[in-house]
Amino acid sequence: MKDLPYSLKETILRNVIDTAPFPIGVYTGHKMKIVLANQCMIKTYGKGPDVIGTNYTEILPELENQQIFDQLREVLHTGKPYEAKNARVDIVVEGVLKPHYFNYNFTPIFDSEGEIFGVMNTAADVTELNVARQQTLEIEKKLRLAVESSQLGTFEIDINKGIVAGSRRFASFFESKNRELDLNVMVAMIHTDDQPIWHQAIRELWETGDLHCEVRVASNGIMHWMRFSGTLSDSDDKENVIVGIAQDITEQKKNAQELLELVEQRTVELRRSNDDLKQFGHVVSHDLKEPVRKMLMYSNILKQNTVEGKDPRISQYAHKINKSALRLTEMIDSILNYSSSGSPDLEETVDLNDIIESIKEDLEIKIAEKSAVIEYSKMPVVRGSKILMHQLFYNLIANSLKFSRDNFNPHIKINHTADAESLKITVADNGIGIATGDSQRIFNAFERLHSKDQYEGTGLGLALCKKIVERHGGKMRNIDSESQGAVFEITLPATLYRIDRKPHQYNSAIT
Amino acid sequence: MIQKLFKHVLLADDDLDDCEFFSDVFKTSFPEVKLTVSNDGNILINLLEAPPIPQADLIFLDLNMPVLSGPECLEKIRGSLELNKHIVVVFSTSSNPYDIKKMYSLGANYFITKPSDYNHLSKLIGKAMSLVSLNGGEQPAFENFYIKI
Repeated sequence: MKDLPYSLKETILRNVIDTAPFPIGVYTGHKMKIVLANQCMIKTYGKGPDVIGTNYTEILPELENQQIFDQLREVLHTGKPYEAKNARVDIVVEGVLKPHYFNYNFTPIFDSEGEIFGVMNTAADVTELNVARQQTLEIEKKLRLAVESSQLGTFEIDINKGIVAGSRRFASFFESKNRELDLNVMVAMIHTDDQPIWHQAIRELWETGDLHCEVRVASNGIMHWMRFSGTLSDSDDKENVIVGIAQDITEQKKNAQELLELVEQRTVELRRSNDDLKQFGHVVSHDLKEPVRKMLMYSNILKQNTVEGKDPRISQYAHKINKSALRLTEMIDSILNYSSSGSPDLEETVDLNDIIESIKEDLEIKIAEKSAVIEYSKMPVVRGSKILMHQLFYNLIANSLKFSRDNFNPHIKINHTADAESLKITVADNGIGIATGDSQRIFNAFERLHSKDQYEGTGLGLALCKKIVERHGGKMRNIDSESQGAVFEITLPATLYRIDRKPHQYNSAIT
Repeated sequence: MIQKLFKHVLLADDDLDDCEFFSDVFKTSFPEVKLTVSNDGNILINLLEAPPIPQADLIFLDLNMPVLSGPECLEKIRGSLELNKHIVVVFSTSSNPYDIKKMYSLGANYFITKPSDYNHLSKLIGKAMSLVSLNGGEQPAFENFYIKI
């Protein structure tokens, strides 16, 4: 600047002052005439562009009772600078009186003789900062209210200094009247058995930045369960300081414990009743079947040994006893299947093609008698219980054979489709079908829609089928079919259908 | 081929009807073989330990018996130096796979489920007799353990 001509120097200085991003103004005389004000200052006054030459006191009358004029005059008289930090100044800007916050300076300017010529006013508008600060205070207040009302205690643990600063409630958790307590004293109040939990939580804090633990604290002679949740402070001036909240969870723990005990007790009861049921199953299978077997034995002997023609009724009765005993055996077996089916292995790999083939073998005579056709496209391989899957399809196919229509050869079609969620298998026949109103009832145990003489059976077949499907996490229902006959739909979760994922579309049916 | 002849067969079963059926069938099919029946496991073991005459080495054994059950008898027989060569055929009402597996692992030779038909009983006993006289004390493969009609 030294080498520049005076006129240029002055121009530059003027420009610097005029465009400076903070307000600068110079006032002289007792009335504080504005001799200089840069753009920023003019904007801060909020009184339009033509302010140079006017008196500060006149254009800003709203400052009259805000001590500012006194401060200015003091500087003019004494020559000592004045500094204000974060001071509230209410100014009318565009006709509205609004609070502003400034850091401002009044600096005396001296002339060549050393006399006070005027005052330079510089300022930094910190209104926005102040608004943010007030908002923070407001949030903090709300937070404190929330913390207070939820019975939480807040804390700050300075690990380096070994000092804990807590809220009043936090301090009371540790029997302390003082809100600052020694970290070692606090840890010492944790139950000896739980101190390792605390130390482990601190170790994890260094890795994760978070503190979480539940420990017992002996305070006022009572053991309390405390939950600590905290995090390492992000503040630059709080290194190794954990900030967080602590909660007395004694009540919760007690409730959880009671619940756990209740569950345990119920489990024991359930297990006992389950064992009783198993025992019952065993009794039924052994003790009930035994006399029936004897009836079969003796009636068989009787059947063979009755002399033909002597009294035809005796042979007939023997036959009837035999038949009833057989039926009873069948019923006992199906009740056993239904109630016990024990705990079968549901993780076997089951090829449904093999299952259907073996059922066809089992039912060979019936199929031949009725000239039945069983048609199915290549079936998938699923995960489940072989025995149960066999029972499921056996019952369905046997039902279709049993409930066939007079003068019609049974035709059973087994189809399946698969998508991402499930495997759907349908078993459809051309038999007598199921009336719409009965589509739920048929799945009830011991439900029979037909008299014993018309169609034999125990009334357990479909109930068992449904149970088997449900055991595998699936669903079974009877669909109203447009054509004649019954249609059953089995939906199994896709998780069981793991081996053959691609849907099969076989044109030639395997029969 | 071993062709073992049996002079004396023991049946241990607490069910008197079943004992009667068995005896009837057995005496008809094998009139020359002596059959001794004991109605509980303990009597069977006593019988075996004080050797009956003539020497018995084929036992038909029920599972559910008072005092000493079938599995307990089998364990005693297989655990004894004198008796462990005896042939044991399980003769039970059970057809439970668990029972079948268990008796196989305990060292029984064959397993018969008591049928509900008199003719079947005769066939099963006949089959068992010919199998044991053919194979002697050797335990068959598991799939041949359970005798069916």
